[in-house]
Amino acid sequence: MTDKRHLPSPERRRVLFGLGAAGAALAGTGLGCPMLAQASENKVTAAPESDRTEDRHPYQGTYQAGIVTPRPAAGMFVAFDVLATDRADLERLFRTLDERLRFLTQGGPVDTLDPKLPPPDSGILGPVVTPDNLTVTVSAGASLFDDRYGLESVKPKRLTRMVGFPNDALEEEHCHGDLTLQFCSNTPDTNIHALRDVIKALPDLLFVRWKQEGSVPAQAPTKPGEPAQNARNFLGFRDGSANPDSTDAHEMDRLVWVQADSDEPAWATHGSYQAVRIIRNFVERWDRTPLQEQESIFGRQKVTGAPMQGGTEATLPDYRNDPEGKQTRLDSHIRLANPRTPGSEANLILRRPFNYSNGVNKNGQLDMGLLFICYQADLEKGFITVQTRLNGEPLEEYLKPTGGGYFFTLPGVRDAEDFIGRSLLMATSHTTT
Amino acid sequence: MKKTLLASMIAMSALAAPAFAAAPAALDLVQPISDYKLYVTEEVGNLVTETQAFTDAVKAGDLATAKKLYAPTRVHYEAIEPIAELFSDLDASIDSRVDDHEKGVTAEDFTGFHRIEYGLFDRNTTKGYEAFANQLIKDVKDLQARIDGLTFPPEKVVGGAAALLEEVAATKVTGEEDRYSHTDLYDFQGNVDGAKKIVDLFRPQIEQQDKAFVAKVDKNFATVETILAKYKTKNGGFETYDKVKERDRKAMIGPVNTLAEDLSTLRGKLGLN
Amino acid sequence: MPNSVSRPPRLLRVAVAGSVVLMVAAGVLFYYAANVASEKRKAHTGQETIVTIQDHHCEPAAITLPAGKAAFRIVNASDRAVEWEILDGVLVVEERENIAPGLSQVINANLQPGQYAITCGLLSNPRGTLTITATAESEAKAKARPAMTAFIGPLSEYRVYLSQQSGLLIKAVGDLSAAIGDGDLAKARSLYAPARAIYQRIAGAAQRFADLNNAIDARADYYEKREQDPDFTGFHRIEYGLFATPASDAPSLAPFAQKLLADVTTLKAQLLAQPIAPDQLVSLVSRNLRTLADNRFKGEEERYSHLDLYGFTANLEGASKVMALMRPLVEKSAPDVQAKIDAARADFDTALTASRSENRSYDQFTQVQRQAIADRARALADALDGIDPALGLSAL
Repeated sequence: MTDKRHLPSPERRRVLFGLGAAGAALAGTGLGCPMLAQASENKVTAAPESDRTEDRHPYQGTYQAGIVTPRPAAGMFVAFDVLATDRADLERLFRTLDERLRFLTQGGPVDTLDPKLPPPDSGILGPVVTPDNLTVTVSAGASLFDDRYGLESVKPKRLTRMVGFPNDALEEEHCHGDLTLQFCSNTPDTNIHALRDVIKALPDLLFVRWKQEGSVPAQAPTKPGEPAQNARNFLGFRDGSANPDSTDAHEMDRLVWVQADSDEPAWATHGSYQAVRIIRNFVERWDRTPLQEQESIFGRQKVTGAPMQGGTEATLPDYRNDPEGKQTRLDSHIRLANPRTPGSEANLILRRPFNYSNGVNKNGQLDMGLLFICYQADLEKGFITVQTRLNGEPLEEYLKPTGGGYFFTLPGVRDAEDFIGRSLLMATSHTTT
Repeated sequence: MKKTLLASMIAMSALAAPAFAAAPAALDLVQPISDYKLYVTEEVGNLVTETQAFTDAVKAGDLATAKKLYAPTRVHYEAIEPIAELFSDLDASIDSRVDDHEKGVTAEDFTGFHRIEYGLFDRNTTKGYEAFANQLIKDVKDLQARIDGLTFPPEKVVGGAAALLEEVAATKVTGEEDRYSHTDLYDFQGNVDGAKKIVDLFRPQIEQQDKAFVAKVDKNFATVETILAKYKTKNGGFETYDKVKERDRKAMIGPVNTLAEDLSTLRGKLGLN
Repeated sequence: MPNSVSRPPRLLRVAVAGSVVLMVAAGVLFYYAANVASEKRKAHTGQETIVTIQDHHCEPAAITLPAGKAAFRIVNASDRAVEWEILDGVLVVEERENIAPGLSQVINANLQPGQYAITCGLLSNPRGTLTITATAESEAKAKARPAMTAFIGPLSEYRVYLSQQSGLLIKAVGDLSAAIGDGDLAKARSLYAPARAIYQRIAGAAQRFADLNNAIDARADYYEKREQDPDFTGFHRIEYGLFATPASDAPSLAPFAQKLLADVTTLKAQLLAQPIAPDQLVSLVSRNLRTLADNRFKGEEERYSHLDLYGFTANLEGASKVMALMRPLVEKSAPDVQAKIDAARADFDTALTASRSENRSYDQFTQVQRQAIADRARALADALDGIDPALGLSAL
């Protein structure tokens, strides 16, 4: 496989920087189709414009990107079966994946080959791949730690194959996976481009098991001095209220990142547990539910996202003055998920979901809902505890989890010598790589 | 006593939500709610009796009788769905479909009517289903006891009409409920009967609020019932779902969805949360 | 030959003199006690309205009072024990049974504006009228009455209970009637108590329908000609025929059985058609227990069959049903009231269980034993009457 990691030529670099500077100068809201002064011809095929395509995140770091990174508008979660037959192949998989992800997340021109050959790149982003805020987060399922690659002894302690909860209707073909990739960027096309690139690079090592794309609605820019408001889900409620502060490194160490002094295997330090759930929403039924009932099911006001006692979305719910749940019902979603009793701070999770909209069922009802993704240092204290508390909640009438799984997000790629998955392999190798 | 009720009715009207002029007095709901509990009590009594006969046939190895009794027995459950599903553990044990179980038809916790349906209509046997039959009769008797002890919440009773139509819209119009026996039309009728019962019990109060609404609801019910009736068999049963013409299926979906929309306003019209 | 006129032996004379003294003393004590009680009542209620019951009419026959608390002193100037009731249409609002001839009783009532009827001694006597006029206070309090939604559940459950019990009653009376029709008196006697028991569970609710209840449950002495009175029907007429008359009279019972069946069928329809307000749910059963405590404990209810204990047990079952329905509300708002109710109920239940285990008919119970039952019934009635003020159910 040729090394596609070129640096752009001086010429190209100038063009790119120029574009970048121009982009920075423009005040636009990114994807909202800002019309440049010149575009007056109104062609039917005119495309929306963006000045955010050069946004990028570093690939290297202590932690992988895409967890505490702010959510962009487009997400895609893909689960794979790993086809590698032995450790050597598994290493080849990780090294190749690393190479591709470095390129895709930083951008650069694509190679050109003889036109008699298939083009090396799908071309959907054009001759120069722009990063467009892409992060690709790599995680491993429990099945990767089976007897195929000698990784049994270093499986993360709490990593299991997801077992259904009482309200689940899990479809085997939309669950689990040996390896998963969470693609996030400003546009669906960037994610799709990246996925197709990875697939083309690893035909003998990866099999696409299932995939779910999702979106986050754009918000008006946050006013200075005011807390950011969360985007809404397809039930019309703001989703992610009361999330732990992803910019608070101390909180992230406490809740999200596996620490060096934990009982997890050493290689897992700076990784995290990833719980994914494809949760269908019965939207027609929801839209026929009285507003008051919607709010009491959630435990929040719909328009503002404020708790029932009032305030803003950032106001903390006050349960101390409401022991019997007269204001915020005891079985409301937010109160069950986080009762705010002493000790419940140990069960906080970092939620980073997307809304998904697929097709339509035979009964004419829409298949859309939440691609729920969360991160935590301890899967049992985190998602499993929280979901167990939610079992039987009134909201279940409108939900049907149909897919997902439990995975372990690998630690970050430290430097140019490191590659994704290296620490995992080294933890069980007999020779140094 | 009449004076007391009148005074309290005046008081209640003064407190009623602004959107509805004089929502019915709370005490006026006592009669329809208790009448509904009497209806559900009778239906669940029938369910127990008929499930006994059904499960006896399964245990005796009488495949033909068991198949015959399967669908008519279920009608009593489908009619009281809004109350039955308040007991989610029993609802899952009695009426869950194979989709709800990751391991499919052989899942250990896939029990109840549809598990037995799979045996009777897909595997054409009763052998090996005796334990499921025992569990089913135990569960419906448990349901009967729990219903007896339940004080019916008013909003669940009134909201039950909409809940039944959601059931129809989601699973009955596509024949997904009884995928082995294709006896979905029985269940469809059961849901419709249950919803109509609730509307009828509260008719006087609803008409007081909105006479045109009641007329529209009646008309949509009539459309659905007329089409269902086309598929009735001589002995009072129904044809299998595959016999339903595409045209008829489409003709029912509109009224069903509209009924779901309209009945979702029932609680609000009666001043209930 | 000895002298035919002789004075009674000395001992007897002393005994008679002694008993006269005792009787006078008892009368004085009774008078004193009644006066103290009535002074107490007067202190609470202010003006008394005096109603005198003559043999065939009442004075006054028309009364007008303002809404609110009122006290009625009912003077029984007739020659037999009578009951006195305030009726709202067909419903009994207040009543006092068994006012002894020559004595008076005070009845306290809390009345809403409206038009009422008052009974007047014998059931055949014409009724009087009672007009209650609205006051500013009664209007204001009506508006301030607490929300009713908390009672929808208990009232619905009670209506279901009434429907189911009255359905069982119809079946039981049907079986009783069939046995009588077949001339199987032994079977009919064995079916009498169970049928009565079902009625007794819902007696509190049934007693709201004055005429219908009389047809079903009236005792012989409410009627001018007593057991021979053609208007004497219902359970006790059948009881009389099964337990107190020779078997040869049995065929005459058949029409009474059929009438009772028709009447309990009507009763079911009435029970379902007539709504019960929240404050009435409790007062129905507390009043029922009070009639037990005041009168029925004497054994006057099942005076031919002496099966009273089974009736009392069923009264407690019916009261317990209401207690169970009200428990969530009472426990939350007035746990001390709930505790009193639970204790009183347990006491009463224990007394009845012990009495039943003796396997004797009620006429063989001593006065002391009967009084013990009465006291416990009264304690429970008093405890239940604590609910209304605690939950603020009363309009006034």
